[in-house]
Amino acid sequence: MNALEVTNLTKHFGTFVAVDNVSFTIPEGVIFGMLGRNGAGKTTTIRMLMNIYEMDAGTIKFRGNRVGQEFRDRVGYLPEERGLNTKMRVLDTLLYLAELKGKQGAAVKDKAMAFLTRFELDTRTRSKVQELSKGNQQKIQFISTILHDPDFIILDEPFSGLDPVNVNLFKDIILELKAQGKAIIFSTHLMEFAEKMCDHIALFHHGKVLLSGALAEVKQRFSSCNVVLHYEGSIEFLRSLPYIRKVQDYGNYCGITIAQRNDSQRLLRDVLNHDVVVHKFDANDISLNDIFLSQTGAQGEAA
Amino acid sequence: MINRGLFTVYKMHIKQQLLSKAFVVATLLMPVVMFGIIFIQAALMNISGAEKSHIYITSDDQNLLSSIEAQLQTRSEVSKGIYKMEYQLVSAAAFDEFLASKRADILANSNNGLFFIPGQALDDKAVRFYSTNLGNQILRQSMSETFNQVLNRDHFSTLGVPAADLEFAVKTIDIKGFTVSEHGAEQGSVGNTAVGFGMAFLLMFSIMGIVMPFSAAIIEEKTNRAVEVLLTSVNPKQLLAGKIMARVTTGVAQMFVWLLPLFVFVLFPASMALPPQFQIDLGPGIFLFFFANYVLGLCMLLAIWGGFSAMFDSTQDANQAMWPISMLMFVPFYAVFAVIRNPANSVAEILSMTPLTSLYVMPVRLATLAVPLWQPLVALAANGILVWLAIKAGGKIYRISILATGQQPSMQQFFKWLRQP
Repeated sequence: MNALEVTNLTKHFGTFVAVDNVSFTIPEGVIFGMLGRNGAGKTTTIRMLMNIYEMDAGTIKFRGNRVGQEFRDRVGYLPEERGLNTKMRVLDTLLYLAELKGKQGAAVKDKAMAFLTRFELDTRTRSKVQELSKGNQQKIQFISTILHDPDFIILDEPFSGLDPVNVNLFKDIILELKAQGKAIIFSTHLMEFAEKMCDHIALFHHGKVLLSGALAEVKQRFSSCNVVLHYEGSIEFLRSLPYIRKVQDYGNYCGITIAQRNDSQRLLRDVLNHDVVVHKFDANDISLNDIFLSQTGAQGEAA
Repeated sequence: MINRGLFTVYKMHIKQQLLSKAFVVATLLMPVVMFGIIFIQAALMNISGAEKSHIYITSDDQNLLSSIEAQLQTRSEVSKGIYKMEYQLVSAAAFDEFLASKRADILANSNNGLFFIPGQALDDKAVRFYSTNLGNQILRQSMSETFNQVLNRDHFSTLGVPAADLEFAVKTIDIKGFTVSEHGAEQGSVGNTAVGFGMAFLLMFSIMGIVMPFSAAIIEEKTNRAVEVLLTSVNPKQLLAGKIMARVTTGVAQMFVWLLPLFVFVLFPASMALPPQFQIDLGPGIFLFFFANYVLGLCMLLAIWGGFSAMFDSTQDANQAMWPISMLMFVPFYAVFAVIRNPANSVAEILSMTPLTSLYVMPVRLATLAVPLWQPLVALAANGILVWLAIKAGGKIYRISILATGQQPSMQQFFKWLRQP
């Protein structure tokens, strides 16, 4: 069963079409990557899911029913631009936001304390939010997103501004939530994270969904005649080889499009003959980043 | 409309407001400030009246000069030495020379002065005053009173009027007021009037204290993006309504504390032994009306403030753009002065039923007059209609503009948003 079905969703701001006839489905218990450049329509779509913006057209169904208050109570939302009442105390903030979702009492308080301990903020319960560092404020925002035990979680750029240790902590908790069977929307323009964490994706570009589906299927669809090479040395010679169609070089990793599937053997030989140290050679593989670039025609930003 | 989300927002804000230091300080400090202002004003008037002065009284009529001197010796300012008096008989022809001789002393202190009361003043009451400070109203009024008494007495005595009759003539009239009601007539009191005006002032202070900070709170929540998270749980109208309800409750609690001594006095009139002219005689009706109208006024102004503030990204921009709307708060208060001279005049009657001005004027009229019941009811109904319109418009503007950032709102955009469904 699908957790969420979005059909023909459209939103205009004046004459500008921010979201243009977008459709996608999110199965239960998956991490769904909402991918695209800045301004592609991801956040506007999320805001319509959350009923923050009214949609101009389309339908949104949660477990077969049109979304309403029930959905809003069962969703946890981490917005791209973090937002907390900075003058409130840490524990009061968490309890207030949980109560707005219909959860209150000692159990919620205990759970809040458990999360605060895990995030090493248990000594700051009486601190005002504005007294915390930006990273710690983000932890509070993240805890408030999941404290009420939502069935459906929307994380808009959850790792932005976090140090590697906290990225890892967030990632672990997200995977725990997935293991608990919760459906998670993970909106990002960072393809590396999306590729590692997502089961399903939708690729947004100029307000439209260019492609969507299970990540494995999408990669399979685009991976034919593609090679992913992790290397040391110079691969400039590749561009002059007749069976090479395209090279996306990132320094010590590159995506290579070859003319035919069996050209991969010739490619490996040529690479070794040019004294290139090969760390990894994946034939018929393609990175999500290469798919993104090939579909959007974009360079640089998503890399 | 009242649901869990709204109640949670209300509960959080009421806790934040009532337990805040600002509320405790404002509630306890405001009566102190009010009484302080009255005390300081009285003290200032007292101090300004007690300024030391050197005053010359001159006349070309010895009898008149002696009468004035005798009368002035009875004045406390003279007997205490605050006014140092000097009396001099000077003919009209020699006056300029005398004035020149005293010029240096008059120039030395702006409170010094010279009065010339010619014998002719017994017929035309024309007196001349010489000073560097002709704006010294305290000295002029104080001397004018004495001169008038002396001139009246001397003028009529030359006509053979007996001294007792003369004392009667110079005595000022004392009109004692009696309030006529269906139950009869009772000696009037300024107590009710004072309470009426006091309530209008408290209303003004409270509305300012409750409404004006609302703008900053709305803008802060908008700029720190907390509103986006809240809107995933409650809709904008519920969010705004919860905030308004919390502030109204805070305002009512604050006003209740301020009026508590008055309630005690009204319920137990014997608890304060006031002289008859200061007695307070108020029924519960005025308090019911006062609180009902206060709640309506707060709802109306908070809805307008909430809606407008949501259009801005900074408090500075909001303050600049909203000053014309601030007039909705201040201008109606000045209508109170329309009832000072006559609470029953037709202007006061109309203002007491006009939305916004009725907030301040009707309590004063209710305290001082037997106002027909339909008039406060009309005032409440008119304010009620305006509250409904303000909440509808303010709620709509808030809903649309609270997430709109990065653009300076224009009047055109405001009316466009207002027309949206």
